[in-house]
Amino acid sequence: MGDYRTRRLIWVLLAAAVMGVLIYPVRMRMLVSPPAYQLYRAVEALPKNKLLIVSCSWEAGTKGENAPQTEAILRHAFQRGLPVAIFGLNYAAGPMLAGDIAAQVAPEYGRKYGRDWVNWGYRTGGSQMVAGLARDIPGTIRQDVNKTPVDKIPVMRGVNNIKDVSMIIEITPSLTVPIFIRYLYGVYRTPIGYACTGVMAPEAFPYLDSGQLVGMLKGLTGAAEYETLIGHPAKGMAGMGPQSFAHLVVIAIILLGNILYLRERARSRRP
Amino acid sequence: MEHANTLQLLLTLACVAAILGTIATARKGRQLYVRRIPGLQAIDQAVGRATEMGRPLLFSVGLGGIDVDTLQALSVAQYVGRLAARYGTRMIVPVVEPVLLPVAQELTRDAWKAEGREDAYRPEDVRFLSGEQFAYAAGVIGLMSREQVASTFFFGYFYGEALLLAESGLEVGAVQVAGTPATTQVPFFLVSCDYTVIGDEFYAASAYLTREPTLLGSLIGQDISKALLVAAILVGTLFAIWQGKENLLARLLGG
Amino acid sequence: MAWRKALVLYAIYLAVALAAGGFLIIFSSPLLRFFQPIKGAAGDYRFWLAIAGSVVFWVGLFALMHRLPNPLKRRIITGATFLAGLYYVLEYYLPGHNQVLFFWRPAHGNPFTPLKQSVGYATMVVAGFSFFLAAINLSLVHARNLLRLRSGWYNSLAFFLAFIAMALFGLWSSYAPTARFGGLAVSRWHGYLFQEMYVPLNATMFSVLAFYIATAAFRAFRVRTAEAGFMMTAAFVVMLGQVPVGMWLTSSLPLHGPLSALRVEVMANWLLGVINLAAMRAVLFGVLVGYLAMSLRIWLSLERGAFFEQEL
Repeated sequence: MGDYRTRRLIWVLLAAAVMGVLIYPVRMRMLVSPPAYQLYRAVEALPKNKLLIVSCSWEAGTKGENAPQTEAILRHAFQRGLPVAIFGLNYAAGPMLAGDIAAQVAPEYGRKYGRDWVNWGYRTGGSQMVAGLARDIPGTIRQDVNKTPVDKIPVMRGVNNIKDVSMIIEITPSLTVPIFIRYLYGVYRTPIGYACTGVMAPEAFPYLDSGQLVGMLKGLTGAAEYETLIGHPAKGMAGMGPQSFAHLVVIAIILLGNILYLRERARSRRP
Repeated sequence: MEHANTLQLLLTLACVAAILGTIATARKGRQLYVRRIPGLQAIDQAVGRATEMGRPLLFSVGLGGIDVDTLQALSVAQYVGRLAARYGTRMIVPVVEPVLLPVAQELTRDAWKAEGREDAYRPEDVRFLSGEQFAYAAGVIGLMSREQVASTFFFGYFYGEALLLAESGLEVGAVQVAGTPATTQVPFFLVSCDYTVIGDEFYAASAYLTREPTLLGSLIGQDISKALLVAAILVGTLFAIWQGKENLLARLLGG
Repeated sequence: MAWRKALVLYAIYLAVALAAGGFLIIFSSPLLRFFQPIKGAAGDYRFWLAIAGSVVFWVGLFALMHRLPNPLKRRIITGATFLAGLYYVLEYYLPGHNQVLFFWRPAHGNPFTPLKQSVGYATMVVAGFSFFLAAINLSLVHARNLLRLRSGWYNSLAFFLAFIAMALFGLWSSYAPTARFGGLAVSRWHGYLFQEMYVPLNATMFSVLAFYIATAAFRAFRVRTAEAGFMMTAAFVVMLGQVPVGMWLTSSLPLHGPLSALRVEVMANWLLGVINLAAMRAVLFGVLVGYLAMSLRIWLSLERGAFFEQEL
C-alpha cells in the first residue's frame, strides 16, 4: 500500500472514530487524577472576600482544550460565589474568548458583571505586568475591557495588591506559569494553579511536586476531571469519548505498524 | 523570588567563574574535546543537498522573541546562511516576531556579505509571516510547498506547531534538521526530522559549528557548572536528611 | 592581551555609567520635570510636542550613530549591552527590602527596583516600533507579488483583503461601536470575521495535529530494541491512563490496597509524577545552565567576537 494511501486511510480511521463517538456518545466514568483534585480542593478552600484571578493566556488554536478548562474553573468560582477577575498575558484573544464564556456561565449562578466578576482584558508587559500586579493592582490595571476605571467597579473595591488576591489560576498553552511562580509565589506565597494543554503538562510536574503549583489540569482530560468534581459535565466530559477512541485508534495504528515491520523483517531474513 | 538570596548568588558566582575560567583556558590554546553531535554534523550535508537540487532551504527560528533561545537559533542561522551564501543557495527565513525581522535581515545580509556575495542577497527571503502561532505555521507550510524546499532547519523554541511544520517538510521531501530546548516538542521532531538536536546540545550548537575557543570553553564551563549543581544538590540533600527542612545550610543561605 | 583590553573597556563603560548617574542625580529635579509623563488629551499641544521631540531626538541620534565608523559603533553597542545587562544583574542580585545578603541588610532596599517598571516600558516602546516594520514587510512582499502578477498572486490579494477588513472593522467597532455598515453593526462584522472565520481557522490548524500525530506514530514508532519496547509500553500506559476507556480496562482492580498500583491511571500518574518528573528536572537543569552560559556570553559580548576575533 503506497505511503500516501496509508496516511489517508489512517486519517479516515481517526476521523471516523472521533465523529462516530460524537454522533453516538458513549457514557463513561471519569476518575480524577491527584493534580486536578488538588486544584479543586484549593479553590474549594478559597476565602470569599479575596479576588480569584484567572489568567486566560490562550487563543483560538487551543480553544478545544483551554475553553472547557476555563468554563469548569469559572463555574466552580461562580458556584462558590468567589469574586473573579479575568485577564490575559500572551494572547489578545484569550480574555475576549474567556469573557464570552464567563458572560454565558455567570447568569446561571446569578452572578453579574461588575458586581461579581470583571474582565481586565489583554495586558502587555509580561513579567513587568505581573510584578506590577503584586505591588499595585488598580495602578497596573487601571480599567477593564470596557474602559471603565477599576475604582468604579464594585468587585474591585478593596483590591489593592497581591495580598487581596486569594489565588491565580493560569490557563495557557505556553509555559508562562514560571513568571507567576517567580514574582508571586516566590515573593508573596500566592497560591498558583495551572491549566494547560496536554502536551505542556509534563514540563510543569517539577513545579507541582515542589509545591509551587497547588494543582494542575492536564488538557481536555483535566477539564473533564474538574467537571466531574464540580458535578457539571460539559464539553470536557463530552470530549472524553472521542479522545478515548482516538487514543485507542493511535495505539492500534502503532501496533499494526510494528506487526507489519516485524513481518517485513522476518521476510527479509528468510534465505 | 524578586531578588536573589545568598544561595542563588553563590551558585551563580560559582557557575560564572567556571564558565569564564574555562573560556580563559580555551583562549590559551588548550585543545578541547566535544563529542560528535549528529544533528549538527548533518547541517553541512543538508545545505549541500539543497545546492545540488537547485532548491532553496528554509530556516525557522521558532516562536520565541528576542531571547536566549532565539539568539542561539540565529547564531546557527548565521552559520547556515554563510554556507548557503558560499554555495549560492537561497535561504528563506520566516519570522514570527516583528522584533526579530530586522535582526534576521541584518544577520543574513552579513552572512552573504562575509562570503563576498552581497549582490546576490534577496531581502524578501527574510519575511515576517504572522505574530500568531498557527497562522505562522500555515505560512511556513505554504512556503515549503510553493518553494519546494530541499532542506529545512527548525532551530529555536517551538510549541504545538512543531509537528505541523516537520510533517509538512517531510511531505515535501526535504531533509530536516531540528534543534529545540522545548522538551515537549522534541518527540515530534524526533519522529519527523532526519536529525534532531536535543536539550543542552542546542546551546552547544554555536560552539560545535564554529569551533571558536571562546564558545568551546563556555561549553566546558557549562558542564562544570552542571557538576557543581549536582554537588550542591547532594550536599543540600545530606543536610536535609541529617537536620530536616530547617537545617543549618538552609538557614545560612536563606534557601 | 585581549583580556586586559576587555577589562579596560568594561571599566570605561562603568565610568561612563557612573558619570551619567552622577549627572542625573545632580540635575534630577529639572530632569524629572522635563521627562515627566504627559497624559494629555489629543488636543494638548505638549503631548504632541513631546512625541515630536522624542522622534526628532532618536532619529537624530541614530542618524549620528550611522555616520560613525564601524569600530566605534561596535563599542557603543557592546557598552550599551553591558550596561543594560548590568542593571538587571544588580537589580536581581542586590538584596531587596527586608532581605539579607551575607549578613548585610540594606537600609533602604534595592535602589534599582523602583526603576524596573520604567525600564520595562522603554523595552515595550522599542518592541512597539517593530510592529510597523512587520506590517510594512508583509505589505511589500505581497504588493510585489500582486503588481508583478507572480504565480499565486491571488493569495496576496486575499492577504490584503483580510488584513484591511480585519483592521478596518476591528478599529471601527472599537472607536465607533454603534456605527453600521451594509445594514449590520460594525461590531457584528468584526464578530463574523473574528468568531466565525479566525477562531475556527486557528482551531482547525491545531486539530490537524491529531492526524499528523497518528501518521507520525504509524511511521516512526518501531520496537527495534528492548528500550524502545519499554518506552512504547510506558507510552501506551500514559495514553490509556488519561482517558475513561483506559480506566475502564482496569476498573475491576480495587481503588485502594497493593493491587491498586496496577490500575492504568495509577501507573500513568506514577510515570508522569515520578519518572517524568525526574527526567524533566534533569533536562531543566541542563537547559538553564546553557541559558546562563549563553546569557553571560551575550551580556559580555563574547558571542560575536567583540574582543577576540576579527570583525566580519
